Amino acid sequence: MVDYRLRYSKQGELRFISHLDLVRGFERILRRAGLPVAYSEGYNPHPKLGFGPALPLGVESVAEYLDMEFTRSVDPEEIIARLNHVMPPGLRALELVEAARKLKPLTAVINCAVYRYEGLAAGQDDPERIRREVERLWKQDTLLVTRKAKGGGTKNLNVRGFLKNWQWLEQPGSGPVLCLETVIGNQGTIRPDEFLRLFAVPIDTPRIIRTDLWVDDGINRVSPLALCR
Amino acid sequence: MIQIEEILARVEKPSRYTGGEWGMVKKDWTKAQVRVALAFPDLYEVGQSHLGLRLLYDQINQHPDYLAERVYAPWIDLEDELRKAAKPLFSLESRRSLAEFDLVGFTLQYELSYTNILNMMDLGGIPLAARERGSEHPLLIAGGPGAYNPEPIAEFFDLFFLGEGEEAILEILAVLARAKRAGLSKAQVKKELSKIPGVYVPEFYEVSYHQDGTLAGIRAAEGVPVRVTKRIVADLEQCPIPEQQIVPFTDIVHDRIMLELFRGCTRGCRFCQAGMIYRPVRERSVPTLEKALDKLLKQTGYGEVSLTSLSSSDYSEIRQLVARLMDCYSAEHVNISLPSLRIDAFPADLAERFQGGRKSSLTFAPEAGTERMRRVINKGVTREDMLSAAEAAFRGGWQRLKLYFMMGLPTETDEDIIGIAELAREVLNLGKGIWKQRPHAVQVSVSVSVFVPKPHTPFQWRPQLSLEEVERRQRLLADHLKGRGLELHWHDARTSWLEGVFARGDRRLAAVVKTAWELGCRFDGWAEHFRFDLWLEAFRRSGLEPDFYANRQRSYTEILPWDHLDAGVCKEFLQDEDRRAEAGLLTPDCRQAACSACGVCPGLQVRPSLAGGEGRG
Repeated sequence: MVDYRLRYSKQGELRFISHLDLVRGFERILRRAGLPVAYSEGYNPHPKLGFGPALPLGVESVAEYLDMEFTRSVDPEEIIARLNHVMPPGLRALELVEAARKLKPLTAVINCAVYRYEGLAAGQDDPERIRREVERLWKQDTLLVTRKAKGGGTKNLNVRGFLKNWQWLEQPGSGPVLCLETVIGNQGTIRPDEFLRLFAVPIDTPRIIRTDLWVDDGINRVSPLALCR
Repeated sequence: MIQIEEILARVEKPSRYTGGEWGMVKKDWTKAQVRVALAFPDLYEVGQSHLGLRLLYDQINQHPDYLAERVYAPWIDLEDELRKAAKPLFSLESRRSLAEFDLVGFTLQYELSYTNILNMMDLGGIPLAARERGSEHPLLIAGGPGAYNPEPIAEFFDLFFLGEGEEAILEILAVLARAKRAGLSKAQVKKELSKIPGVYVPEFYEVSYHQDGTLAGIRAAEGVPVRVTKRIVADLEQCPIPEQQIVPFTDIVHDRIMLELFRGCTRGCRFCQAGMIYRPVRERSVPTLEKALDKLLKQTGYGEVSLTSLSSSDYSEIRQLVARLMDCYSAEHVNISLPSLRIDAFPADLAERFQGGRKSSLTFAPEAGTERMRRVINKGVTREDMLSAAEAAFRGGWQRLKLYFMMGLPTETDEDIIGIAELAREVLNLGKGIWKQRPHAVQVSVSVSVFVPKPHTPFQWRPQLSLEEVERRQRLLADHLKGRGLELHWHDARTSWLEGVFARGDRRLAAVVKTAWELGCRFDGWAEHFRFDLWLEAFRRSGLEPDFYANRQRSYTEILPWDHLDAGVCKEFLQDEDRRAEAGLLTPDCRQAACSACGVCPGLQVRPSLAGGEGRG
């Protein structure tokens, strides 16, 4: 058995494909690619795949990760080529590393996500207002979002602790672009749509792209691929 | 291209509408001579599962000059968004409005989708009535089982096609391509198309009525056939199986490869419209099926195959086929499933292999509770057949059986209803006896639908059970079917009744469909959207009596609204079968026994053909 970790992108209209649909889709992509995926034992065998944290519906990404177990070793270049040959438009295999050691699941190690918001202030007269609003949010101790509770009803949750960092990038033509770093994983997270709902000033519907998922130990941050080496 | 991205971000399950799936064909819009929209009047999850449209999609797109794209009914949330934004219903491939196509083809799978058809036309910017449409509008065509009596929606369509579409679609498109080049008017195009066998242009047929509401006559205009006869593929073996299939992102109803083993079924169940209109039996050979499946598995990446047909276990080489497929694919984790199992042809060993070792539940369809009733419907299954099949299932490791029945069959008495409960209890006790250690794990679930008499069947003259009587018999059954391990499900009597009204309806019902749609009816087949009150209101406004269509005994001499439409099975055979039903006489399957003279083979100049060689003619 050989383990591989893949980085792939999910862009364009594929942002409308749910995580569950993507999981099913990958099983078929791997079959089409004719790659020797290992299957679990039992009455209902399933391919041994390990996905990273789910990407919210409507969000694009250039930093999605997938762990795959194969029954034999295949050249990484060939795996990428074969995957890209059979992926629907919008999905693209970008990088692949063979694991030199036993890997912990992606969802157990990834704890930081970076989102890029483009066109937040596209139609606004005063883009500065949005910058001031982000600064205002940062000064709060408590930022409440309402979530559905298990077993019906709703609950309020303070998500301030999940916001780690932010940065404005200037992008000619499309106004300022916000890069937002958030906590993700077992500790909890703030979803991009929840973040947008915190704004007290009018905003435009932005294009949102997950640009990075990191493994951050408080001192260093590394890509999940780096853990394979 | 219609911009809908903003809208998609707000609707439930947007991947129903995005297209872009693996296997989708997107051709150059500007280069196609004829552009066809294949429309299914229900959600993507239902429509994308339909084999017939998959076949046409492939066939049309294989042709260099034509293009086919898909359109499905939008769910309520998208409809609201489209209407709010004044945007039209669009095709998945090029995101063009329905109105931009040359030909819009709907499939008529069930009567309760008629309001969805009107809704889709309206959202697509197409005037509803055929007579209100000019040359700037697409031509509307419909096919599928509903086309064998399309009269209730005839005024909304320019044409219907009777039979297997792949036999004639290219002929139809060739006429359209020529007509476009020559600049023919809509009336001229219809005239040309009416010359293609199997094409029915309703406006060329004039229907008159007696005072009592029955038909006085159906008069064909000059130069069009008095009767339109269905078209079928004579040699299925020569009919190509598509080598590619769309692989949806979202989980659809039949999310697997559908491998079509054969068409037609000559079991001759007297209630079954499919068994009558899809005759004769034409099987594909094992090597042909194997080759096609191999290509499809590679192209789609699916891990599941359904062996599809009206009654797949009747395939004459089913054992050889299953053995071959298991040998080839079990190591590749490909699951093979069979959509329907017959009690009298239930090989427990096969069932075990089909389910891939999983023993969740097995389904049987005895259809009726007593042997007498089963003889009436020509389902020659005995109590012993049923019990030995159940025994084989329980011994084979299953604990849960599902039994399908119908209620309201001709000549049915209370005894037959109670017979359903008794049969279910017998099966349950049998199971408990076999599963001695865990008798409480044994479950028998009984599902009862309401019989709806359909055109072109031996029961086409019979009355459907009234709503009140269905409800009484449902209560009677519920009283007798009680106890641990027994479960009862039934269909809403009201939807079956409405289905019955339209199944044998005439042209006057178009007003009811239109009014119901205007009142807000759509997705009538979905319990949460079915508005019986609005339908009753629509009938009231039209002045038509629904019971006249559903609950009336017709005489053999009455002119039926579909008498000018020929499914190949002759009326004498249907009457004869109806009489034999009354007498409780069985008519054997012509695959094994003598020809039952239904009229299909001489009429269409075809023969039954079986996988292992010629069938009996």
